[in-house]
Parts: sequence; C-alpha cells; structure tokens
Amino acid sequence: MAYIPHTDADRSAMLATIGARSIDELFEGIPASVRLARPLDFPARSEFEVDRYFEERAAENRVYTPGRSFLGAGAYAHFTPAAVLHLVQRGEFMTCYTPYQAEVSQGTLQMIFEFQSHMCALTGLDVANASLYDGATALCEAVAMAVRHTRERVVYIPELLLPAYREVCEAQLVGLDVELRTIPARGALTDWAAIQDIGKAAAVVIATPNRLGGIEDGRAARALANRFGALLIACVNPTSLAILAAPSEYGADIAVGEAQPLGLPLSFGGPYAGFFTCKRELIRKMPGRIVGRTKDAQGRDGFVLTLQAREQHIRRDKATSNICTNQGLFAALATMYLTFVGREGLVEVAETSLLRTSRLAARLVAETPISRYESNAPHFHEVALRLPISSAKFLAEMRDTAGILAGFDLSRWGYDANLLLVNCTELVTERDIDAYVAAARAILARRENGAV
Amino acid sequence: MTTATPVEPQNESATVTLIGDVSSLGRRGVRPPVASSESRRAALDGLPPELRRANPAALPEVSELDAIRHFTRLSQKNFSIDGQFYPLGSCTMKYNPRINEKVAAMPGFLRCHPLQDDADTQGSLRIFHDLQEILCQVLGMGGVTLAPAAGAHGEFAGMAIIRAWHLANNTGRDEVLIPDSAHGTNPASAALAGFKVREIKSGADGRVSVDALRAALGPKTAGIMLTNPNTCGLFETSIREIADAVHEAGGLVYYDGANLNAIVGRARPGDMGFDVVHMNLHKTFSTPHGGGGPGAGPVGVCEKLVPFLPAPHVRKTAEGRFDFHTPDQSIGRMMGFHGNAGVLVRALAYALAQGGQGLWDVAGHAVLNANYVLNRLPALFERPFGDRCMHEALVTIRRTEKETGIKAFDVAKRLLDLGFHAPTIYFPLLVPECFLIEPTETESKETLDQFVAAMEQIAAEVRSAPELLKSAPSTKPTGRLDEVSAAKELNVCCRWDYEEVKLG
Amino acid sequence: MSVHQDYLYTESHEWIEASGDVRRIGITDHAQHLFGDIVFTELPEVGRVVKKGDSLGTIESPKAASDLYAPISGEVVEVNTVLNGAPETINQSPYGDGWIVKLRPSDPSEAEALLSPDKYEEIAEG
Repeated sequence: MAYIPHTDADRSAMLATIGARSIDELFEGIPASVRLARPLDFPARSEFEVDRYFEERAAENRVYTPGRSFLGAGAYAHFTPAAVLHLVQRGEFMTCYTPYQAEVSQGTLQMIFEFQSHMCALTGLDVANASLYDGATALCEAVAMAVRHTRERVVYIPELLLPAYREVCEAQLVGLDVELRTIPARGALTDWAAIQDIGKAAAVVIATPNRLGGIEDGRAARALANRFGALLIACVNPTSLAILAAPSEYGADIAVGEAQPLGLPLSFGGPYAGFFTCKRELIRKMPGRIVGRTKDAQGRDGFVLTLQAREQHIRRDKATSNICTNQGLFAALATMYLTFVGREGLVEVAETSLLRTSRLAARLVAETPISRYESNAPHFHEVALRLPISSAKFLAEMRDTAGILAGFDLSRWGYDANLLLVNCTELVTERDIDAYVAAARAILARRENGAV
Repeated sequence: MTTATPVEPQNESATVTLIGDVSSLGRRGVRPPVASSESRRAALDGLPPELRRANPAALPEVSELDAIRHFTRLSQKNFSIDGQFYPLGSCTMKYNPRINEKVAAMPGFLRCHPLQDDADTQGSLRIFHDLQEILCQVLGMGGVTLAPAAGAHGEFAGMAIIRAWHLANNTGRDEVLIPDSAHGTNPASAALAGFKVREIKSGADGRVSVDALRAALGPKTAGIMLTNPNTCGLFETSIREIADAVHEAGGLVYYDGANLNAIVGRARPGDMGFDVVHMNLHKTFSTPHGGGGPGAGPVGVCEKLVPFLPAPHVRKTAEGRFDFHTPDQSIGRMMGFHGNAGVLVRALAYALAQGGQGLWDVAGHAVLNANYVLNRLPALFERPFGDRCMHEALVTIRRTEKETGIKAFDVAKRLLDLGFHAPTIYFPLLVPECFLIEPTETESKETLDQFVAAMEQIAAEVRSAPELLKSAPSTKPTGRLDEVSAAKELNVCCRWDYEEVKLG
Repeated sequence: MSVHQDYLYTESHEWIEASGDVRRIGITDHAQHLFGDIVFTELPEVGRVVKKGDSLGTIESPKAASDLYAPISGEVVEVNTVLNGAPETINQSPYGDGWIVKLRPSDPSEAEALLSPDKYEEIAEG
C-alpha cells in the first residue's frame, strides 16, 4: 500500500464518522456485476525493485554521450545549464496545477508571462500563449486558427515540412473542412514559384529551417500568401531565431514551433513543448491558455489567466480548441534556459551549431567520397549528404565500429536509400568531427576494397 | 551599454520584478560550450544577409545567481502539493512520488533520441509495452495507445477512433450525446472530431436519466460520452443499461477517465460496457501536474477498435523484441514523436510500486477520504446528493449565498489565507455555488481534520466577519486581481529594449 | 432587471425593435447581468445576410462568452462601432447606447414568433 498514510486507527475512526462498516461498503453503490471481486493480479514492488526495473530498461537503450550523436531530424541535443535542471525539479513548480487560484500561483503565472515574452522576442510577433503539446500540434492549431479566421479551407504546406508534422495535421483536422495542398521542393529548398493556383486560401506554411536543414526565403512565402489573401504561418526552430530572420521580419502572421531545442532533454520524444505566437489582432482566436498582467485592488502588480472565455470549460463545443493541460513545466524549463544562457549565449549556440555543421559537411566532402545532396542551399544546423553506400549500412557501421550515431536515414522519409541527414549542435567539438570523418573514411575505404 | 528596462507598461507600483528588471546588457549567466568568435563569424559569412536577423532577440542577460534567486522567489509564490493540501476536484492532486522522478531522470532515458532504431531503444519500447499491458488490465480493454499528450488530447483521439469506425462501417452517424454535467473538454473534443453535440439533462439525483437518454437516441447517434463516477462525484448505477441502450441504437460508448481514481483497481470501464476510454496519467497515476502539464492521456479501446488506434503503437514481436508499428486502420499521428515518454516512465513506476493490491487500496482510501470530508463539513455546506460520494465530495452554499451574498468564490479565497488550496468551484455547472473537493488517498486524517477546521472557521466568519471573506485573500503576494482590465488590456508579454544592439 | 416595453425578445436574451425598416438588436438587461463586465464584442461585417438563429457575433466577459443570435432573418446594415473601444456600454445601457447591430428584416413576419416583454420577463425571472 504505497503512498497511503492511514493507520488502522485512522480507518476505524473515519468509517465511524461516515457510518460505514468498511471501505468496501463505500463501493456498494457500484453494481456487483461491474465490480471486481478481488484486486488485479500483478505484484507490487518496493522502491528499490522499481529502481532496479528501470536501471535494467535504461541499460537496454543505447545512448550516446554528447558529441557522439549527429541525429537531429526534429529533436536536438543542446547544452542545458545545471541550474535549470535543478530549478525545474523544485516541488513548487513541479507539483502545482494550472494557476486557477491566481493569488497562490503567481510563480507559475509570472513564469508563463516570461515564457510568452521570450517567445515573442524570438519570433518578433506580438502575443504568445502558455505553450501547446509540441511543435507538431502547435502547427496543427495554427492551421485550424487560420481556417477559422479566414473562413477559407485551402492550406498550402511545403513538402519540406517534417513528415510527422503533416501527419499530425492530417489526423487532427478531421473535424474541420480543410484541404492541405503541397508546395513542392527543388533540392533542399521549397519551390515557391511552382504554385500557380489562383483563388483564396486560409494559410501558407513556411518551415524554416526545413526538414533538410535548408533556410527558406520568408519573403517568397509571404508573397505567395498575399496572392491568396492567406495568413502566413512560420514553423521555426527557436535556436535558429537567434541569428536567422525573425518571422515578423518577413511578415508572418503566426509563428509556431518546437521548444525542445531550448534545453529540453531528448527524452525519447517527449515531453517537449510547442510555442505559439501571433499578431495582436488574432489573439482572441489563439488556442490554449494565456497569462496577462494586471493589478489588484491595492494597485499591486500581478498575473492572471486571461481570455479564458475562449476555452473549453466555458465555450464547450464552441471553444477555440479542446486544449486544457499544456506542457507547463517544460515551458518553464525553456524559460529558464533562455534566462541562464541569455541573449548572447543563444546567438553563440546558434552560430556554433551552424559552424560545426558546415565544418563536418565540408570535411566529409573533401576527405571522403561523400557529397552534398544540394550544395547551393544555405543551411542552418543540418545538411543532407549523398553517400556511396546505403545510409542504413553506413549508420550501422558507424555505430558498430566507432560508437557514433551518424545521422538520420532519409529513406525513412521516402528519399533515396543513400541520402543521410546530419546535424551538429554546439555539443559537437572539432575533435568529435575528427572522429566522425576518420570513421567514415575508414568505412568507405574498406568498401572500396570490397569489404563492406 | 544601457540597462535594459521594460518599456511597456509603465509599472509605477511594481511589486513584481520581471527578469528584464535584473538584466544588464553584457552580463552573462551560464556559458554554453561554443567556438571562437572568429570562426563563428566566418561561418555566418556564407549566409545571405536577407536570411539573417536584423535586430537581436530581446532576451535577458543576467548572472547565474541573480537568475537562481529570481526563479526561487517565483517558486515561493506558488501553492503546491509538496507545500499545501490541494483538494482541487476533478484534478486528483495526489502526492507525486520521488522515485518516479529519479527513474525518469536516468541518462538512459533522457539522452535517448526518438528516432534511434527500434533495436537501440528496446528499454524504452518495453516500458511502453509494459505500461500498455497494465493499463489494458486496469481498464479492462483490448488495446491501449500511449500517444496522446493529455486528457483532452486523448478525448480527441478516442472520438476520432469512434468517427473512423462509423466511417469504416458506413453508418452515417454524426451526433454525440453528452450529459450537462460533463467536463467542458467533452463537447469541445467531440466537436473537434467532427461530431454534432447534443446535450442531455441530468436527473434530479445528479445522474444521467435513462429515459432522457432513450428519448435522445436515434439514427444519427454515433455515441455517448460519460464520466463515471460523474462530475457530481456519483457512480452512474445504470451504466450497463445506458451502455446497452446506446449499443442497441448503433452507437459507441465513451468513458472520460478523469475520475478513474475513484474506481481504479476495483471496477473497470471495459466491464461496464465502454468501448473507448481515456485516462489521465497525471491524475490517477501520480505524475506531476507541473503547473499545467505535461500530462499524458492514454486511450483504451475494445477489441474491434484496436485497428483504429493512433500511430505509433508498440507491439511485442514473435522473437520477444519490441517495435513501433502503425495499426491497419489507424486514425494517424497524435504528436511529432511518440508521446510524452518521460511521463509514461513515471506512470509505470507508480503502477509497479502499487501492484494490483495497491491500486485497490488507492481507490478505497480516495473514497474513504472524500466521504470523511463530506460527513465532517459544517452544515453551511449543504450536500445536494446525500451523505455518500465516491472520490470527491460535492457541497454547495447556494442558500447562504441567497441569504448573505457570500459566494463560493469568497470562501475559496478565504481558504487560501488559511493555508489551503481551494477546491474546484462552480463546477459541475448544474449545482450553483458549489465546491468539488477531491482530497485523494495520499492525505492523512490529520490533514483532513485541519481542512475541516478551516471550513468551520469560515462558516463562522460568514456571520461574524463577512468582510474578511469578501476581501480575501489578504495574506498573499497579491489580493484579488482585476480580470476585467486584464481581458481588456491584454498585456501578455513584456519587451525589453535592446535597440542599441545590432547583430554581428 | 428591466425590460423595455417597445421591444420584442428571444429566449436567448436578445431584443429587437418591434417595428421599422431597419431595426436595432441588442442583449437584455438580464443578459448583461449574467455576463458581468463585458470586455469584448465581435461584430459582423456590414452587408452580411443572416438567417434567423445565425450568429451575429460574440460577446465576452472574463467569465463567459456567448454568441449573439439573429432574432429574425435579414441584412446587417450597421454595427455599433462604439463597442469596439467601449464594450462596457452594453452593461451601462443595454437598451440604448449599447445596441449592437442594425438589421434590415427580409421577412418581418418572423417577428410574430418572438416573445412579448411580459412573456420574456416571465421566462427570465423563472
């Protein structure tokens, strides 16, 4: 009986107050036909045994120390200050709930307000919400918002959007009358000029950097959106925004993305946090919780959840979204990350990530038979490479001979079997690049000698 | 170099220090491992200027210690389970065991990338699998998905599964029945999944009226969404009859598992005739609420709906390995990756620590605690549905409100002064001026007695010192905040002025 | 609670002028009490043609949000732009300066099905 404080004496006294003979009697309102006669048959474990079960599971995962993994494809390993990991574990942040009682939740509320402020600073847009589940669901909500706002049904999505993001949109917009059309790619960049349609649309989506690491031209996307009278939705990597054009600078109406790169651990895909920012005139159509600054009767500053009337607990089937729980603690983690790393630090992280990715690609091209998939496209911290062997084989060899997770096999997204996506962040040092290049050279040389 | 100051709004009477207020251009916190500035600048030279940012993002620049103090002070303004009794009805604010946090923080999980090969993530896949199995057993269902990120996300997934089943069977049904006592997420999720929503009225006893239900069933009925025990804290005793009637009419029956803590390990939605169930691991399975997330909202389905589960789903192969796969008629993908994996680790740790007997005791003591509070509260707090409840106690002061003007809201705010988080108020909607009190099983009798004593004190103050209630809270960092001006002014972000800085 | 004697009413708490080629529409005193402080109104575009029961926009307070439904069918000929800057006008003068929309009825006979002031008062108080 874990985590239950009652003594026998407590139980007796409480049952006497209630006027019941036993705890079981309290369940007699449940018809016997749908009540279990005895507990379910699986054993309880002690704290030590629980710990041990997970030690064993953790050992069954192959993990890579910093600098040994070059796999990104939507989730990126960055440096997280120790202070952040310490603070996020504080019970006052971790074990509270949605700040419905504002007077005893000012910590959470101010944290969200600062999160909103930082997201607006990064995207350049006016307003932000308290976070959504992840980047993919944030994009889905942005599309739904654009459809509601414009009362149009066509949405243009780039082929170079992460496939999972598109799948989430397809699965979760079933209740709306939406048609997703694809803007094709040319190499590692979106071919904005390929769309010759005329008519109206709800939104044009730009994903930058795109799934191959390419940096897209926001002005071309804006021009396309203007042709359709559509909103422009930017799906962006927040780290990249330290150095790349802010969505506001190319006229995006909504900017969303995955906050995971802001110091959130990889954690096998979650929990992460989606961020959502938009122009001020769209705020009442924005999904999710929003914190606003206000005052109490004595003129003291404070924060409250605002615009709650849009939300499900009041609007029910007419709500802007059904979202309720968001990713509060991980939005808090991102807020703290941005604070400790700071303005200059984030610029350095973004620049170093770009630098190391360029270095790795350049050295592989110079010193091995590997080539760039698309050499002209400007990139952020990922590039697609063409290998002389299949990516699957290369990845397995790199893992087994050098203990390196060498990238992402692009055939999983339907590309040629010998295309590989590599990512470097600031965790990858020059020495790590040396190790990668040396291992790749050895593997590809052995192949030329007929060994692979 | 200038000191960064907030440019809007003017905070004349600021008692709040925003991070920007302690920020100074050029100050550094924790330095990430980065390359030299020359080599970084050289790398940027390859970027066309129009792709680069013109103005730097106005982020704070603070020292490590100043930031630590800032966030520590913020944390001290929060009530939390660790600090206070937090009987928020329908939210199941139980103790969050620290072993869960320890195991979730193992590097083997934190450093695991979601796109690594299945062969290299067998540990995490087995965790998914083992949790799926336990939840199938707890819910009495044929299959479980762990993909949804939260309860409402699970509701949507469940309703999308019902929609997909009706489409696959060409039934032409598109209307969902929802009792007026339901959580607001139910109608919102049904609408998102493309259904029309029809409300059915509760009976005078706070339960679904089987007659009203039968009258509402028809050729368009796709299903019904029910919470059991319902939001009045009552078990729907006619549940089999309700499920049979909906099934006979051609619909499916959806279970909102927000209140699962009342029956976990003692009764199973599957045995009651439910076809689809969502549950909230951050409620019943003790994962932390984190100030509003993350949660996880697994969905269980009966055998015939297993092929419709979202992607990805974990299965055990013939060789005893584990892999991700997409079910044949899957409704598709719920998230960018596999779900809130870190939350799933914590939930499994909890399930393993409890075992079958432990879960049995969880529900038992959750219901014991709620009934104890229900029966000990002073007479001011009327019991609209008798002296027994499940895991949450519903009481109302509607009569007192008419006589004195004291509202549930005032009582809730006064409770904060007395050191308790307020229960849920004004929900369910069908009982005016109500309190929904969910103590959970992890609270001791002593804590409940202290809470009852506070409620007794407030009951006396209604007559002796009503102004105390009307002006509460008076001991917190702020008093009641002006929500009207918040909603009008919509000051939702603060910009720090960095105009003088230009990038590179 | 006050009821204006020259208007007709709906069960969803809208009022409309009883006669005229162009008629003003608003929400009742009872409704503005239920809302509390109104902080926002979303108004329809002029020229929009609506059927009886269609949404004409939304009204929002910190604790509630609700649609304004067209009591009868017609064309929106004017909206009360004062509300954009001062939505609280509805609280202050629900039957006067706080009007919301002017509608040109397409089928004035629809008004016959609306509630009389007495009948509305009975419903609102019950």
